Amino acid sequence: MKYFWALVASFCIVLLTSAQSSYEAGLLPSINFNKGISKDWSLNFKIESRQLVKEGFFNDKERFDYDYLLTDFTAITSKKVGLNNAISGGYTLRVVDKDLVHRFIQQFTLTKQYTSIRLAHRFSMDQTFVEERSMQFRLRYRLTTEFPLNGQSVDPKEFYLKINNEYLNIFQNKEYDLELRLVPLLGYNFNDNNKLESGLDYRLNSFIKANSSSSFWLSINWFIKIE
Amino acid sequence: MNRLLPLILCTLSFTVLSVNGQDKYEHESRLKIEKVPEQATNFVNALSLENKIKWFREDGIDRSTIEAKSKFKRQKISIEFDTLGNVEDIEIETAWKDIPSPVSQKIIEHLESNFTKFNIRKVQIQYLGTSKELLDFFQNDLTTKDMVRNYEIVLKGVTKESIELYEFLFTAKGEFLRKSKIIYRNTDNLQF
Repeated sequence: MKYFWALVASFCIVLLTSAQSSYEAGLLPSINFNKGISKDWSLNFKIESRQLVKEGFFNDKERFDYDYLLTDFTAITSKKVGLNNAISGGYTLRVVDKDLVHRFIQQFTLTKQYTSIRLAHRFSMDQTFVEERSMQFRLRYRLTTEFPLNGQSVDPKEFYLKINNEYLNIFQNKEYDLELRLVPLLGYNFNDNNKLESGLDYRLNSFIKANSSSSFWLSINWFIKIE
Repeated sequence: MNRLLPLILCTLSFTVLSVNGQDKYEHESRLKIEKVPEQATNFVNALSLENKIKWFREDGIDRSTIEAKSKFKRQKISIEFDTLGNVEDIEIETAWKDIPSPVSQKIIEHLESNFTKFNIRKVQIQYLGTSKELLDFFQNDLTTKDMVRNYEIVLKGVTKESIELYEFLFTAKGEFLRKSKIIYRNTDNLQF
């Protein structure tokens, strides 16, 4: 937990030292289906929608303007390559109004089980293609920690705490930006194949060259594994 | 789409929740000391453990148990009781190198016949006996013929077909007793 609070402090410092920081806030619901297709292979299908509720500058008047932003449809196939490791590849179709965005994803995940927590390291990269714009390439690392809120493991009908911390290196048009994400989530485990999580998805970017930009999303994630 | 998604989520939640109401499950939870049978607390107090004792209750499909976890001579110890507070076994973590050489050699021979490669993750000594026998052993280092001592070994085992985590049980002489595969919990919410 010390690590979590240190991260929160660093995010606040970056935010406070930016002169004219903009922000946006909204909803980020997602539904995530997983299906095992053989002993080592599985398929993941995710729908995620982004809806804006509020945006503006931190030292300015608030603006309330609900706006539906986009929906992502993602399909990823994974292969188990070790006791707790998986390599995955997939594709996202992003629908923004009438425009389509195409993203190709490659990732490697390593999961570790300790006495009472689970840790996952995710190394991934993606390439995004939008019409009339140059390709965007991202190199990402995400650390996920899961804590049971009762006992030593997350059993059925129990709550848990999950913290995602992700670093995204973004390359486009020979320019570089870094995005930081901190996502504390409260989860409920209906059973091993059905989990619901909700919390704040905080994203901070553009703080290297320009004034920082923050996003606060109310994240609601539902994970369903189909046997 | 923005109006459809909440509707889809609500519909699916009712569908999935209604199915899960009939599921069987195992449940482990922290237990307050006030809810632990006196017989169990008396037994644990008699062991004079160095660290704080954490109590757990494990509810399985057929039966429930109570477990105390702490440290004994700097090693992790867990003491399992039935719900009335009768001690069932004591498990204490140990290092692989502390298993006597002829015994560890016999265990290795058995594992080599099962796997192309294996990696030992955890070794525990399991003690089975009456309350008096177990207390005599842990307090005064006295053993009786009736007290049973086994080795419980958790390992990553590689075969031509798969890589899995297993729990093996061997006697004090290194004879194979039991093997079970450890099922990992679903990691989808950590992976995606």
